[in-house]
Amino acid sequence: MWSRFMAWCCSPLISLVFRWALGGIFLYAGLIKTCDPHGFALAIYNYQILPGWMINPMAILMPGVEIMVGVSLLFGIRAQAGALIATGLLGVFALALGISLIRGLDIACGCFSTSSSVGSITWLYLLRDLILMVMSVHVFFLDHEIASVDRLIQKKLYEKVNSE
Amino acid sequence: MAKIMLSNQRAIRLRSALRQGILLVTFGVIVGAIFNGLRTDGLPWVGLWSSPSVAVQHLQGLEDVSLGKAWALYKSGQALFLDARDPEAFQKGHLPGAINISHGEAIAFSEEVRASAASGIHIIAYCDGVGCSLSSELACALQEYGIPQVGVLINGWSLWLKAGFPVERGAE
Repeated sequence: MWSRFMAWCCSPLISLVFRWALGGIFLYAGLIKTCDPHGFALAIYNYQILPGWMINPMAILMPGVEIMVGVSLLFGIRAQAGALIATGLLGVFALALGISLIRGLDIACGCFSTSSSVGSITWLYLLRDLILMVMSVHVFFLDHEIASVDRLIQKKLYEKVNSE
Repeated sequence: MAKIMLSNQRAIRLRSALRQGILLVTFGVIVGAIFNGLRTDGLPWVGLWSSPSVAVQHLQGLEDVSLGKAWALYKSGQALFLDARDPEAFQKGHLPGAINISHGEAIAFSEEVRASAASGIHIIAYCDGVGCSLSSELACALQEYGIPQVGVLINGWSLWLKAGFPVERGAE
């Protein structure tokens, strides 16, 4: 039973689903934040973790990184690197959420919306973040490069070398 | 032997992913900077992020009601508080006599608020946290419905609680 479950967990299909899901989530989150950098900067400020001089550069640059990670995972372009950065980002987000929850801050997450009217953070947000982190670790170790641009390029190169 | 080769392969794979990851982050940083540069209302690289400056950003010309003034108006029975936080936070505790008007509900309460304003009552919106913009958004929404005299008590809930003023719990 256990071995069947493990085989199912490690199947290429599960890894592909996780990669696409994470890719879509990161791309969406990055685009939302890019559309409203002022709102995202305010969301970062509300966490009261970063010094004032770091807030604007973070609000400008982080959405770009999220977009790149999203594109990498969605299309399978250096997906392992994308999963590695995604894991790091999710780890940082989880830390920020955990600290804020322990401090009892009544703030909006700023994860998938830059508006402060979407409700306050709860432990469920942290749980969601940790689940996404497990998914990205799964992709990092077990991605089989199915339906990926990398695999397509490799195939083309292989065909080219063989034909010569 | 096979074990050593496998661990070497893993190390090479990890190093390669790290290198590519750094490249990915660099591209991302460039993309973020370009997007911001192309925007007409892009964010300046250096921003002022102190409590007063954030409060001023939210107020956008609305009346800034101090805690002292809010307390004095409440004591004289001339204040109507509008709680812009979510219903759950409101149930846990709110300013005395406050009406909970969550995001997007301003129109439903506009007549009630207008009637109070017309009878000389000061309308004061509040939420929680210096960075919370819900109260100013509510005040702006009410202004759009023709109620101009809405003040904002920035970081109202925390300030009120800290001052030890009376609070109410449960739904209104």
